[in-house]
Amino acid sequence: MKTKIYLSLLIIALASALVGGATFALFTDTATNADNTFATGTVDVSAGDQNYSVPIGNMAPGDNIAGTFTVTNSGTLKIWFKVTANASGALFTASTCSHGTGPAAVAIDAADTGWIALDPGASQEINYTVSLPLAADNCYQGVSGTLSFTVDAEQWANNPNPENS
Amino acid sequence: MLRRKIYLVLVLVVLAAFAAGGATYALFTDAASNQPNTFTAGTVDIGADRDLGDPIPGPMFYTTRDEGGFAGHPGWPDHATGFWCPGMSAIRQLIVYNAGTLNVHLKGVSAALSGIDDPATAREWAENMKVKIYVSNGGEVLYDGTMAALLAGEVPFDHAVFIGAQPGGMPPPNVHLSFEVMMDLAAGNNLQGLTPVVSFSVHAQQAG
Repeated sequence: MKTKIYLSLLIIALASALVGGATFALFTDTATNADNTFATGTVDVSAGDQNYSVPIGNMAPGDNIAGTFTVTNSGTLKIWFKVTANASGALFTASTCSHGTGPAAVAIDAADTGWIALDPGASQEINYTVSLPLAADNCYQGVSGTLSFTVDAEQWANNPNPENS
Repeated sequence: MLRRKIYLVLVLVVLAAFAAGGATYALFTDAASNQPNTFTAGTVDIGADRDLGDPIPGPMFYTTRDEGGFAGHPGWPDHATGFWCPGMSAIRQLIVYNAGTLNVHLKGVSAALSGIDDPATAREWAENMKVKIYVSNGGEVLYDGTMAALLAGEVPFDHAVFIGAQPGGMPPPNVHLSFEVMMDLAAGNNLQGLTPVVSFSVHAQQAG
């Protein structure tokens, strides 16, 4: 009997608490700091056209043709960039001559290799040389190849080792 | 027998006399009341100003001077963050003061976002923005989570922060809160070039 009474009292207490909760109110207020802007930056790199000191359509063994192109940071963040040459075609392929001594090769200047920092809006000229060795065999006569460059870019901030990112 | 009747008549006469006197009976009287007592409910009224010595009101976090409200104040020092990128973090302070007449507890924080139209992008951005709020100068950490959680609604502080009332025109008591925001290093390329704008709200209720 006692248990029932206690149970009833407990139920009444809980019901009261629920009713109280429904109407419970304290004075409150809110303070707001508005218009916080978290604009994210952009990594946007571009590569300009290749320029050569001499015409490139008539190479001969022993030629070393200097070339340049410009890398521009068109984004809003400082970047790391790295240039990679992509040479293809018979002129740049060793197997073109089975007994030859080497195809044409591309060498990017040491100062323009590896990861290079570049500020937003800034540009850097990339210098390189396209060479056809003196020892190139006759089988390279009249053959051609194509050359393009890839520029990889990463944000500079919080990125001390771009190679590993 | 006759005597009895006489006594009875006398008693009735006396009673009648008393009754008649009662109708006109009066004592000197007076009444007094004290002045009306006015009961006024107190107020819970908190405000917030950015800190770090910024001389004009505005947001805590701003990418450029103009966004920070410094356009008309050349030469004034600012704390523009510059553009955000993965791994970047910034700490700014908010002074929350009690301008009401009641003691208050700061009990939670929420945020509202604008500036990103695509819901999926907004969600991804908010998940990659980590927010830590603590009482400045090494005080208790009140919140440590994502911006996304704050955008979903009020998040209770881990510890309520008490600010006493100081009525009477005195400078309002305050507490300095630090907001540390970090963009996760894993944030993706699709979060480039966004302009998210956030309102931070600190919620208070009467204390005690």
